[in-house]
Amino acid sequence: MTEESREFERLRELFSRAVELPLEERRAFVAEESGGNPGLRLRLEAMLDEDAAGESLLDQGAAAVTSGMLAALETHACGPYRLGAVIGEGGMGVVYRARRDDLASEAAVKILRDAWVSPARRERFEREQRTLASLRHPGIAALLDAGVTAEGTPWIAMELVEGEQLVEHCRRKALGVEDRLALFLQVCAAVQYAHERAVIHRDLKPSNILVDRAGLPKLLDFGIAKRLEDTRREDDQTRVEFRMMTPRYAAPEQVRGEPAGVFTDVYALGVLLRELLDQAPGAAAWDELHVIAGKAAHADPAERYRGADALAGDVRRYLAGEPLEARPDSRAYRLRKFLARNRAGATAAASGLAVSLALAGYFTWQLKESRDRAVASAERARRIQTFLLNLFEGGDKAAGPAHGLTVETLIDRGVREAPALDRDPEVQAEVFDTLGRMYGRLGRYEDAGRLLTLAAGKSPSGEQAVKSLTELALLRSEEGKFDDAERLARQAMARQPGDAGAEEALGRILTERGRYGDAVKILERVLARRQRGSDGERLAAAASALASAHFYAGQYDESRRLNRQALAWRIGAHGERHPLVAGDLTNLGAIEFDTGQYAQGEPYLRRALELIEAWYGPSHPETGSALTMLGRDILYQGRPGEARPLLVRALAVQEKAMGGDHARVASVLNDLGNLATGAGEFDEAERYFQRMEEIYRRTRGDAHYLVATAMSNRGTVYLRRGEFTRAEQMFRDVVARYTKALSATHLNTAIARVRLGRSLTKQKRWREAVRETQAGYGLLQAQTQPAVSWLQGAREDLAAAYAALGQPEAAARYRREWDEAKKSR
Amino acid sequence: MGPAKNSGSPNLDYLFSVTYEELRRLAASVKQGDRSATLNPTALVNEAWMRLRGAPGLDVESPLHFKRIAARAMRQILVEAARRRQAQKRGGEGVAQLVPLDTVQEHGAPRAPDAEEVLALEEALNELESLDARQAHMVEARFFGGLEVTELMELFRVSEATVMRDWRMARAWLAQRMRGGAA
Repeated sequence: MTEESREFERLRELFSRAVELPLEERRAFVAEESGGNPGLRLRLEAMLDEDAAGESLLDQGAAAVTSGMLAALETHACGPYRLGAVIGEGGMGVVYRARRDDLASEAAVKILRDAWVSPARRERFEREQRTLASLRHPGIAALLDAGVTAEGTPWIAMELVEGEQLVEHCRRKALGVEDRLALFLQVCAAVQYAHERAVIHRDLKPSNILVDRAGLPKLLDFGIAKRLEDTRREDDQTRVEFRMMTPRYAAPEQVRGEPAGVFTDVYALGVLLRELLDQAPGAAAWDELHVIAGKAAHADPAERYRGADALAGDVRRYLAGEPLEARPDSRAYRLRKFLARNRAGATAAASGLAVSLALAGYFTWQLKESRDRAVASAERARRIQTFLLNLFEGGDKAAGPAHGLTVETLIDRGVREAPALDRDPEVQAEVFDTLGRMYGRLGRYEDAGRLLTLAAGKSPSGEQAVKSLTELALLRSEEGKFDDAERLARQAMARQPGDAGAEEALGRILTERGRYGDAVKILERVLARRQRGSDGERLAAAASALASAHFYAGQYDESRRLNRQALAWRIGAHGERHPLVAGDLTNLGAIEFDTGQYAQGEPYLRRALELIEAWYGPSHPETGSALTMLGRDILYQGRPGEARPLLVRALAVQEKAMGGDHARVASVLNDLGNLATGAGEFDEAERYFQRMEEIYRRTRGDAHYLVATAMSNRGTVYLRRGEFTRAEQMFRDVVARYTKALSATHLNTAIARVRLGRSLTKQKRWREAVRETQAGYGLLQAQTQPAVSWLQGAREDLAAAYAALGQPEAAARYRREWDEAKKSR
Repeated sequence: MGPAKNSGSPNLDYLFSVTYEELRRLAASVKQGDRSATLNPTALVNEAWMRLRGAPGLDVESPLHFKRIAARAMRQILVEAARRRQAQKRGGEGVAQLVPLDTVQEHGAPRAPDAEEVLALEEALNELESLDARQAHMVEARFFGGLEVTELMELFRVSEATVMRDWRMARAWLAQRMRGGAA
């Protein structure tokens, strides 16, 4: 032992003893123990100081270092431009302030992230950028140059605009409506100029419109969205599409992935106009302007203005007091205004109650629906409206809910006061129905069931009864009581044959029960009927229900297509932040998840969780489900540390909200089981999966595929533990169950066969192993991405088995496929 | 005990270089992708594992084994980046100054650690390795590879108390050393 290491030993010993002592005793201890060795004493004191301070690099963690250090690996120059500080970043890339020394000029250089240009296409990319560079208009930030870095990342140099965002500018200067409209007209003129040269912006939004020091609006990024789409690789499609549609400013057809045109920019201008108006001081009743904005941002492109100039024309006519091209004619328009007014009042009164306000908006919408239905009787409409306004006003004349007034309080108050409406049972039934639905949304299923049953019994005409029964059926299904649910839905259908709402509910319930074929038949009929003239929400609901049935049946492409359709209809009907929008996003995430494309699923699921938690609050079962989905997706991406807290929270939420015996609890147990398996905590994993299996068996019956899923996961635990024959028995059972409950070609069946193959491979029963693995492999290949872990695992097993069977060519083939799949990632 | 002793075997060299390439590629892609995403070494190491697991010829025994190697690769990547950064700074006028508007400040960290600090840690860690290899390898695995305490227990076959004691000691020793204290 060298002297140095002896001294280190001594240091270690003294340090561990010293840290056990209270702070004030340490000095004395050090002085005494290191007596005669001043070097040792100094070092020990320094270490104790560092230990107490806890500020060293090691305390900060490597994450604090990584970002800063790795910036050094980044690009520093683009063509003739030297990059400086980051001045912004958007959906498409990072923007740097840049300098061009030869011309002594400055520019903004945008590096397009996630885009890649192959060497073969570079020239074309640069040429197209030069076409864009020919746009010269005072309202458009000029495109100066463009190119591709050595790594193939495209960049674009633009005129550097120093200013602030248009909406921000209006707010800061507290501009009145006329000033805002003047700026808006300049924006329209710039857009029109580009349109006349066949350039569509495609990504107009406030962050792309700056007002420079001279007070002139300038549009950034003209035509760049198109370039980005062209350079995008196919496998990035979903991710980029998602990013493109997130902004509120994306038109429904863009969200659907259809080609953009002049009408797409007109839509964005309509949304911009609305935003400028909503924020104008004293923005009360600019009815005509809202009509203009509404026409520009109409969900149907054919209903919009034919161009930016036509839109600008109506704004000018408004300013001049002339009649408009747009005319308010629909009832929907009036209802939207009704809503907008209520929301504005609530915002003014209670800015701190974001969650309740979101719910209040929904509440208003629900009651508006009731009012809408009752429109045949003006008197009834008046009574319902008075009733709802009284709820909000709470007896006094305040404009909106006071601080601390939650939506639950509002509903409870409604329930107490509703019996006073007993002179008119029809009105009362509608109010009970609405309040029951609200309780359902808040997760108070028992209260919801009570009120909906009351509503169904009150309504003498029958129409309301069908609606209440349908809602009650869905509620029971939500609670996992599928027999009751199906009975109620069929009862509703019997009362009013051909009622699309009741049929849709039955379709959903059959999907929940695993009868996908029957569900698809019914739901296709519902969707077809609604396409002959229904509003966006009803279309979306039917498309979404049908998408779910296809999803569970494993028809992912069809499901994806229908879900995107539903999402577009939903956003058109409710805006971006509605929980139904979150539902569609969740479904889209689930498809990516089920096909093994976990990273693509994550952005959908994150956004969905954000919307759902904002809407329902932290302890609602919906929030629990969203937590589960995201946690699971992250777990499958191999980030167990991030996944665990999400899932543990999800389990607590679901157990509290749903009781211990609900499918949602089982679903979280599944993920925690997987997590435990991954962490090597096998006994714990086995317990989770067993509990999961029992819950599914009790709630869904022994033949349901989810029972098999729980068993399959338990089989994996055995596999990991090295109990291969036990695993084999389990997987044989699972394959038989999946084949019966789903189909012989379903993804789950395929995965189970690969797992069965693995258990045989481990027993060196090569021939049997090849048969199972090969079969599973063939099925998987047809349905997932080549690099999915199941496929890669199957390739490994096949390579090993063929090698053992003396077939080196076959073994080599799978090894090669493995390599190629890996590279393709 | 630690990776250093094993790194003579050709298989481990290969594993290390593959891991290194993958991590570097991942780091660069995250960087050019979502800037708002924190570059978390733990996440990078996990992702590298997902991509490399079961590769033929790699012969990775377990995720743990892999993570230990990945931690070393991550350490090397960061040290190289720090050297490059320092070189850029010395380069003066000719090289543009990149101001990383990164997540570090937002999360309330007192300041962004600079290249000198990373290089000082590297130097101190090398010294520690000659004095107490286990402590040095533990720091490497935990700091650069994001291994959790339970994983360190398994990897080094020691109790939780030992992991905690070693980590605390090593952290304090390295910190005083980085501030210029004697070895």
